Amino acid sequence: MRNKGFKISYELIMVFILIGMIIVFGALTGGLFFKPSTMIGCTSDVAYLGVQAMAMTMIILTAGIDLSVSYQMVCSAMVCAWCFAKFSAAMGAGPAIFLAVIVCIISGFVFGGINGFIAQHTPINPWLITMSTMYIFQAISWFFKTSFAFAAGNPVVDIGNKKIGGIVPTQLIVLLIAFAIFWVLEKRTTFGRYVHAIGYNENAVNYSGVDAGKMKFWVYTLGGIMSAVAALMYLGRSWQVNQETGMNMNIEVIALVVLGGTSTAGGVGGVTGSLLACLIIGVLKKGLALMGLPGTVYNFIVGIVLICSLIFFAYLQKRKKMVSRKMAIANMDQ
Amino acid sequence: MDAKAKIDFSDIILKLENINKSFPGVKALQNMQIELARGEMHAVCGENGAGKSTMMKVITGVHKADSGNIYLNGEKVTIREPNDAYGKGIAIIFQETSLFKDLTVLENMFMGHEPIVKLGGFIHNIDYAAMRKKADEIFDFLGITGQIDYDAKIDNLGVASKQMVEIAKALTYDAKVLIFDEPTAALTNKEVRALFRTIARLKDQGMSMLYISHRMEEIFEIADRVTIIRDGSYVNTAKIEEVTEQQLIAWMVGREMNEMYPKAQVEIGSMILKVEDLCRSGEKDGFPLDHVSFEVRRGEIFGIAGLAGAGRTEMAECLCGLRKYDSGHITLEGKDLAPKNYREAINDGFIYVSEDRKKYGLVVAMSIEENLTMSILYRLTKNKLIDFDAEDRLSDEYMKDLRVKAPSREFIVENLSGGNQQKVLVAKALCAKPKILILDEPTRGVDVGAKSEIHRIVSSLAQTGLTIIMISSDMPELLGMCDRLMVLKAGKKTGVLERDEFSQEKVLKLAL
Repeated sequence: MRNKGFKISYELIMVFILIGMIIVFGALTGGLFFKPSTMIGCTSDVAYLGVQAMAMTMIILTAGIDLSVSYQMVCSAMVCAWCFAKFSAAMGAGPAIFLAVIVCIISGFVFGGINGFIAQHTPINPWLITMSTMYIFQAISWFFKTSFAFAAGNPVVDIGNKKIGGIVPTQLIVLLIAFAIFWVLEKRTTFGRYVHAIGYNENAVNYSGVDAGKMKFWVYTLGGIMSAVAALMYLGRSWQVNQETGMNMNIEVIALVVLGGTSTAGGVGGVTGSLLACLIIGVLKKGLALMGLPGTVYNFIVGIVLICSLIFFAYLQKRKKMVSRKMAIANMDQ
Repeated sequence: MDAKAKIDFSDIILKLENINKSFPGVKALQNMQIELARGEMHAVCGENGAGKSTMMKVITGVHKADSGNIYLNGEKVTIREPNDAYGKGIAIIFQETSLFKDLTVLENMFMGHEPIVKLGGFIHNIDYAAMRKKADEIFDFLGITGQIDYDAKIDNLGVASKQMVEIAKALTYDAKVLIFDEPTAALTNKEVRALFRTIARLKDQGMSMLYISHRMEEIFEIADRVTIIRDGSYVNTAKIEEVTEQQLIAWMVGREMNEMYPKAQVEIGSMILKVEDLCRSGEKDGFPLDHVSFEVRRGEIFGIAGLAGAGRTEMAECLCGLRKYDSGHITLEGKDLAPKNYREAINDGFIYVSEDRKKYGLVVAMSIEENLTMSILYRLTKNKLIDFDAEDRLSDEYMKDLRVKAPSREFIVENLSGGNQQKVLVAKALCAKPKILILDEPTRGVDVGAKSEIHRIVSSLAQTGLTIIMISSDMPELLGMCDRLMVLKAGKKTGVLERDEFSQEKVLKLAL
């Protein structure tokens, strides 16, 4: 997708909003927010959401959705913790955590693959597929429930909480790496081109000799893998997960993608917007917390921001359509 | 016959003058005109897509004309919306009935303008007694008193009765002009007779009617005059007793076939494609094919004719691996093929241009370039990443070759005209450098200018040695463009015609 103009303008506006918010919060908190450790550090609160949003962007670009995303994360985290608890005595902590991380990623791959397999082989609406698997993943996580929590000294926790140079959190670095990978995937590979095309017209993709079903399988599987990565990030930050962790988090991830300008109708949007949306939400969360406002205020403001951005996005879309229609009429008269 | 003599053709009730109407990419009506005399039965004839329906929609206010005048009883009128047309006494009987199927005959007839009684000055109540009285009058007028139960639900009525209710409904508006849009399409012979009796009665009472139909014998039976339109333009109006069927068809088609189809002389080579005993049951999807065998020679335009459901598209999709077949052999240049999927078939040298451009052919919301390279994007990669320079070069080349009219390669396909979209579709196919190009209805929904340009392109492609298989329902197109023609009927091959034995009659005989 190299249609410039419109897309850049929406993303540019998001950059301005981000800068504006940093300035406003900086002023309201008496400069507290301007401290690099705060300003950059606030991203560690939302990085695990952003990582999931990267894959979710690709899913939504195909006109799909993944409601089970947060339960994939919880489930993978539980599997990881369970594995570590089970084998750390026998193998020693080092090899056990290595094994647990690998098992965690594999479980994410499997969970995403289940969604992908159903999406590939049935015509069922992805909302319904992932709503069903959401319950399944939620139930599976019960099997792996452990009272065990990760502790300091555990490499996952150590890396997860580390700030490089005391300023840049590893969480942010993981997010940026994920963004870089997904940006290349979306903008520079045939896979990304087809993901956009499937969102617009899946039939035409199939009739171009491309297996759209296979693409959909991989999009959902990537979702699972990124959920597993998010699980490790979450464990690193919070030391433990429980069933409630997944609640509403799926909606939070979807909200990030939508705020980033990706249309749930498919085709329109991209990962850049989702990254910017993630940073905006991070700043908003931290800024309001620093001002000592309760969580409900945060919810209220996120709701307002979302609806405003959607209205604005709809307006931009309409304007873009009018402009291109004018061009089309001019072109016809040639 | 007496009635016809009585009509005064200078007493004009409805007149359209220089009506123009464009939709994005298509000029649907150009300087359209028609004159309907009082008490006249006036037939409107034209091919599919000639603009008959658009014209009726302009008259009944569904579409607003871009320019031009409509005169009713000599007065210039503007018809803003369907209700406006009803108010002015113009009513249309649609092909598909517009009745509410869960309501009764009476309720449907007066839908939207029910007679009202006021109870206590403020409660508005529907006056069923008045409705019945008016309905009695109308049914009497139509000569069908007692034939339809007023309280029957529409759902329980047959097609013919529904149509009568439609006509009765139109008369509740005191219609002066009635428009029939293909009224006999779904009727049995007996019902057609009944309808014609009603129409004759209406005519006796002085009703002016426009009648759209394909069926020549009907037009000759009931019409006083006929207007022929073609490609959105007015062609001619004639008194029915002064024209022959052949003449009407010539006006409708409007062109000598030889002028229309620029068929180039091409050296036909040896056999390139051989299909033997191709079978599919069609149980899961699509239509069946039954032991279809044929050979196609290099540089040839090989036509496939047949009615809808004959298995033409299925045949093409089997060749391309887009559909599964149960048994049979496909041999291309002496090599046995069993295409598992379309990608493999593309690499073997097949390419399929779908009949449904918007559904299967193009991603209209994406740019010309992205569409052009969609089937072969995997060939334009460097280290797994898309090579944008190569993509730009390729799209510029093919846009120039096929003369796609667009400001740039980044232009969104949706905003191109139908003909240009079709060219993008053909260019997309050629990008893959195919050996066999399969065109399925290549000119459907394309205006005449673009149509002949596409024919020129097809012809010049054949000259370069490309082998083309062309599926079409447009008989003149097949006869004009093809070197040989295979006719399918219900999945079976019923014959192959050489160019020198082509005729519409022969093809129809094999297809029916």
